[in-house]
Amino acid sequence: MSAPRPTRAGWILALVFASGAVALVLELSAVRLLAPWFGATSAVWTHVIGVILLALACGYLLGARLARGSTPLRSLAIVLWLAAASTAWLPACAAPVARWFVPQGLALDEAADVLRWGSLAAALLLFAPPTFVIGCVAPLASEWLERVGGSSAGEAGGRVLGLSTLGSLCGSFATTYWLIPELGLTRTYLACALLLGALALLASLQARRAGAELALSLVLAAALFGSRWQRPAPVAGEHVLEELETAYQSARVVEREDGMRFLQVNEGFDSFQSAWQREPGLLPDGYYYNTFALPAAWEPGRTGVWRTLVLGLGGGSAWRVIEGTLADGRTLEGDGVEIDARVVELAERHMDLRESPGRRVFAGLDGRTALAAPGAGYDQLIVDAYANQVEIPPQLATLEFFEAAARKLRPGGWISANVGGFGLADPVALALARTAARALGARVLLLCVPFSRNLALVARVGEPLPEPGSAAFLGIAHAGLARLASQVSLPGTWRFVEPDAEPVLTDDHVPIERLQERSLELAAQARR
Amino acid sequence: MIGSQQSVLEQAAAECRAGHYVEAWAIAGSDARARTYVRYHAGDLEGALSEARAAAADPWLSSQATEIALALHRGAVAEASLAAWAAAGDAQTALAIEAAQRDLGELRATERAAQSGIRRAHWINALACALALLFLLRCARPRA
Repeated sequence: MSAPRPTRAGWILALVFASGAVALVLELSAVRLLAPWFGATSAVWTHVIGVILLALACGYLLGARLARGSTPLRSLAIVLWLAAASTAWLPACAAPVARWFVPQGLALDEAADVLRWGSLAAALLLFAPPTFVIGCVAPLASEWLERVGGSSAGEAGGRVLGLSTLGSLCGSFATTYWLIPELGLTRTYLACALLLGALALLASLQARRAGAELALSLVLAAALFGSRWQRPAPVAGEHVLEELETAYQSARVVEREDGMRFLQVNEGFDSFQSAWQREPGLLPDGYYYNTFALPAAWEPGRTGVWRTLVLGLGGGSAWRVIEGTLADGRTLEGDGVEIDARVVELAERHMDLRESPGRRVFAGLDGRTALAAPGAGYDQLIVDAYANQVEIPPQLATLEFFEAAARKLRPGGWISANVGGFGLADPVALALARTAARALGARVLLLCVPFSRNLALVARVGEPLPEPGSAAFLGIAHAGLARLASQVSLPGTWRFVEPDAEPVLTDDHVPIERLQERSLELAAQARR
Repeated sequence: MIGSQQSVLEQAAAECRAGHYVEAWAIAGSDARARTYVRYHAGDLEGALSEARAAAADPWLSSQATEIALALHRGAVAEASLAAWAAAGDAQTALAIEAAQRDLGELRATERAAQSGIRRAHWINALACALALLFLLRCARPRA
C-alpha cells in the first residue's frame, strides 16, 4: 500500500464535499419540482425526505459492497456518472411522471389519495435513483482514502462524513438563497449534473478506464441539451405574463381573456393567491376577497380613514376590493405583510400594488412576526395567509395568534380570515373558529363564500357581530355588498361558533395538518 | 304582470335578479323548484343540489341537479340525476341531455384516471418498499 499523499486525498475530499452538496440541493428542490402537481404540503415534504433518506441508506450499503472490490476508484467514477445522468434528466421526467398519477382537471377535494400516494410514488421514481448512487460515494471515497491515502478506517470515515456534511450545509443554503431564485429549477439541476459529471470525469481520469463511462457521459450530454422542466400550462384562455422562482415557491401571473389577472403559486389544483381586475371594487361572484369588504360596510356611521392590517397581502386583492367599495369620503390606509418579497415584486409589476403615504407594504415578513411590531388601533385585521397552497400556517391559527391579533385592533375592530374548507362542519374551519372565539371571548361567524369552497371567518373585538338576515347585516348602502350579504344570509350558509370548553389550537399543540387531512377525507366521503 | 299571477318560481327569480335572496327564499317557501333556484343563484351549490335531489321526480329539477352535480364534480350524483332527466326528457331537452352526457363522460374519465393513478402509486410504493427491504436484508448479512 502506498504512503499517505495529501494532494491525492484533496481531490477526493472535494468530490465528497460536492456530492454532499448535491444531495441537499436535490432534497430541497425536489418539492419544488413536484409542487405544481402535488402541492408542497408537509406530507409531500415528508415523502421526499423519506425517499431520499431510504435511497441514501441503500446507497451507503451498496457503496460498502462495491468498496470491497479491487477497483473502488472506478466504481466511484461510474456511480458519479450515473448520478450526473440521472440528475440531469430530472427536469424532463418530472411532468410525465407526475401526470402518470395526477390527471388533468382534478379538483383539490378529489385529490386526497392522489396527493398522498402519488407524491410518494413520484418521489420514488424521480429522486431515489440519483440519491441512491450518490449514497455510494461516501463509502467508496473512504475506502480509497484508506487504501491509497494511508488513513485508518476511522480517520477516513470521519473525514468523509465531515466533508460530506459540510457540503450538505453549503448545498442547503445555496439552494434557498441562490440556486433556485437565480437559476431556476432546470438550470439548478443541470448545474448539479454538470458538477457531478466533472467529478466523474476526474475520477475516470484517475482510474484510467473508459467504457461504461463513455456511454454515461453521452447520456449526460444529451440531458444537458434536452432536459427541460415543463410547468403545467395555463388553462385555455389564459396566458402567462411573468413567471419566476422565489425562495418559497414557483410564482406566476396569468391573464385571462377578459382581462382578469391571477397570481398563482406552484400552479397546483384550482387555487390562486390573488385576483386582479382593472377597476378596484368587488370581484365577480366566487372570490372570497369580497367578504373582506363587509365589515367597513357594517359600520356606516364611521367616517374618515379605514385602517387595515393584512397578513398575507399577496398581490393586494384585499385592498383593491375594500378600496373600491368604501363610501364616499372614506379612505383606505394600512399595512400589508407578505412573506414572499418576490411575490410583491410581481404584484407591483402586474397588479397595481403600490405603497402610498398611508399604505405600507412589509415584504419578507411573517404574519406572526408582524403582530409583534409596534402599532395598533387598526379597524380590521385580515388573515389571508396560505402556505403550500392548502395549508394554513400553524402560527397563524392559534389561540395566542388570535389574542395578539385582538390587541392590534381598536375596540369594535374586526378580524376577517379566509379559510379553505368544505362546508360549515369542516374540521379546519371549526377548529379555527373555536380558537378565535375562545381568544376573543365572543362568538364568531362562519360564512360560506358564494360559488366557492372557501369559508370566511368574521370576528369582532368587544362588540357583537351582526346576525345574518338581520337589518344590521343586510342594511348596506353598497349594492354589490348588500347582494353579497343577502346571499350569505340563506339558512345553511352561515353559522355562529360560540366559545366553549372544546380543545382549541395553541402554539403548543396545533395539529393543523391532521385537521386538513381529515377535511379532505370528509370531502371525499361526501362525494361518494 | 301582477304579482299574484306569477308562479312562485317567477316571483323568487325576480327577487334574485334584484339581489334580494332573503326575500326570494321567503317567497320560495316549500316550492322545490324555487328553493333550488334561489340557492343556486345565491351561490349555495351544495344546498341547491340537496334541494333538487329531494324532489327527483321533477324533470326540471333533475336537469338542475345534473348541471350542479357536474359543476361540483360529483360524478355519481350527476349520473343518477341525468338518468332521471333522460327518462322524463322530451325532444326539446334532447340536445341539453346530450351535452350533459358528454360532460359526464369527461368527468367520469377524469375520475377513472384518478383511480388508476392511485392504483399505480400503490403498486410502485409497495414494490419499492419490498425491493428496499430485500436489499437491506441482503446487505445486512455478514460477509462470507
